[in-house]
Amino acid sequence: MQKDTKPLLSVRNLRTSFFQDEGTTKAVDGASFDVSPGKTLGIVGESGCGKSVTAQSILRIVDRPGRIVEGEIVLTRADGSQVDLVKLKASGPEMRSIRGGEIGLVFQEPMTSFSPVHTIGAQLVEAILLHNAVGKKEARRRGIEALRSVGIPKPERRIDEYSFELSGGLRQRAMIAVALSCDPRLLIADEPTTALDVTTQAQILDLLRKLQRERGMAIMLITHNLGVVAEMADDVVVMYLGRVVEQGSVDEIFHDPKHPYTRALLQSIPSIESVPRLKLATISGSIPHPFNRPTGCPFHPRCVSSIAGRCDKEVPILQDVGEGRRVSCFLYQ
Amino acid sequence: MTTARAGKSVLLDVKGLKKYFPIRRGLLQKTVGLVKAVDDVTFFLNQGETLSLVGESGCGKTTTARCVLRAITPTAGQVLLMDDGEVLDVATVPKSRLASLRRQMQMIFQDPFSSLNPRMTLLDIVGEPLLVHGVGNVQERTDRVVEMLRLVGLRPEYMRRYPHAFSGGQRQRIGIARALALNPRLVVADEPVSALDVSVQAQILNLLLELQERLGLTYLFVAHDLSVVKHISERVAVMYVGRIVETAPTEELFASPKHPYTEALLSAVPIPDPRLRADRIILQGEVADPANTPPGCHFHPRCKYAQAVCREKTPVLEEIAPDHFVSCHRARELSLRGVAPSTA
Repeated sequence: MQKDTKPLLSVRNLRTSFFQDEGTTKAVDGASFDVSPGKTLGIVGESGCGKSVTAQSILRIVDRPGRIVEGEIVLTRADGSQVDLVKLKASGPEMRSIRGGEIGLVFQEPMTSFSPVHTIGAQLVEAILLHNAVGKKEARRRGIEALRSVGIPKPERRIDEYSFELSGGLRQRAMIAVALSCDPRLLIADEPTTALDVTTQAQILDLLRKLQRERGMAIMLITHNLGVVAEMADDVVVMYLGRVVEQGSVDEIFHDPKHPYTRALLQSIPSIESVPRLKLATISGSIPHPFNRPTGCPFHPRCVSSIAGRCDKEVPILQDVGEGRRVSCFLYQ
Repeated sequence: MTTARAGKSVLLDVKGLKKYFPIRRGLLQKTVGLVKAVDDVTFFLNQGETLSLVGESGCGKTTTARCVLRAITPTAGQVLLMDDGEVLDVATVPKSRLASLRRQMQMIFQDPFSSLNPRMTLLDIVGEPLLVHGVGNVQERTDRVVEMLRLVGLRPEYMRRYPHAFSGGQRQRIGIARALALNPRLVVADEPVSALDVSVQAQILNLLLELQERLGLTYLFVAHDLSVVKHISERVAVMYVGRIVETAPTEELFASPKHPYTEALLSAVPIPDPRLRADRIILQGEVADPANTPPGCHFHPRCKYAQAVCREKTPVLEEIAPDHFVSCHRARELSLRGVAPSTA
């Protein structure tokens, strides 16, 4: 969201829908945001807000029957040239060199994202061979180095183990090693610590911060945990039902939230810092089913500041409200 | 730690609870080792209060909760439930008396999707405990279901519907209605909000607090999320590899922890405020394997304050301040960092 540097990745009006027999699910419905080089962008939202599908769209791995309907995903490559990922063929050579090469991905569930019948090493070496012109021996050496750099003890031995032989924390480290083995400039981490315990989560977040410092890569951190975002992100994008409702710097989002959804979300979380046994503020109702999207602003049925006759009819657009802040709400238009 | 504190009566008193699972190998299924899931756990629960068991996965908190309900039979120890002046040991009571005991102890489950039978209507689900315990006739049971659904904030008109028609938060309400249908005194809630979205989590936490006030319920709350635990409980027991390392009133535990593991656990929780990015204590290594526990204090290989004695002697749970129990050789000399009390 800085104006002086070219964003590393610029997503504009992205729409990804799933075409099923029962109807069309608009998983991502007009999302726009930028990722600055070397910075961490936090994408926050509850289930069904489209945060994971956004990540899948960027990497062009949206499963059928889903596809990108509209929008641009512009990546600035290392040589300064720009490429629109939406226009590339999903399985073409250029996209394949970007996916896993320039953009690395860490999934939520390290148990299911590794193959149980191949060793960690085989999967790591495969990624290295695919993106680098090196021999098998060199690839294995780099693989061991990658495991060491993410803090896995005895990497020479671990490389020949299977994913089920590792603990949750080590498996997530191995996953990060695979993602980082080709030196990506952008790392997309989709709920990287959700399946882990707090102390392990602290280890992994610390590791991500250290690796970012060393390599200067950008991180797009997707999570529902506001604590993790507050801790890690430079900029934050808040999503609700496939749309970006608000974006700004992490301090502005947490200390001066503008959108009613962001405000309600922040008030509804119990914090380790807060007073015990006080009644929590809640957001009434629950997240609508994607087939039943409300008309107008998708948040209006649950919104305390909803304007009758406007919010239920018109769809607000994401507008600049100064200093890189953008809000999609009629209260600010 | 079995004495009742001033003005409060103890409802549940757990003493020396152990649950070992045998590891069997080979053709003859010989026992080659023991997983000490719960290893000498002692705590009590006052009438009308909430005690949370916290800890990381594999620390034995769920096993402890299941032993309390005798969903599994403990290897050793006592689970004393006060029943109208009579003291019953849930761990050893004969099977014939178990049914009447279970009317007083009910459970709320973690996953609202797998804990409700998709082929039963709400009426069947919430009415099932009444049916099992032979309460009332059809009309009385239906009335009770209507009452329960209202209590948890669901519309009674929905009682002929199936669980798939409801969202996660609503399903968790159904689970709560089922648990409360028999008017239990003790409710064991195993991670009741961890599968829910944040905005729905707050609704369910509020509901649990509200029901406790209205019905005088006693909660044994099992959770890993410390912010949730802080919000809901009066007292907290921290577990690590099958043992309780610290028990204290909630505010005291968070403000001045006395066990190094509690300190590290509190420090690891990310705080939703970017201005409070603090130095985290990053624990080295991994949680010990309960099948092959280290000698002495289970936490010593990861503890930065560990000394020779920690490797040799197992510490015992000691009361170092009123209601504050710690199992650490160095509890009295260490000054540990807690979470600053909020100004909000």
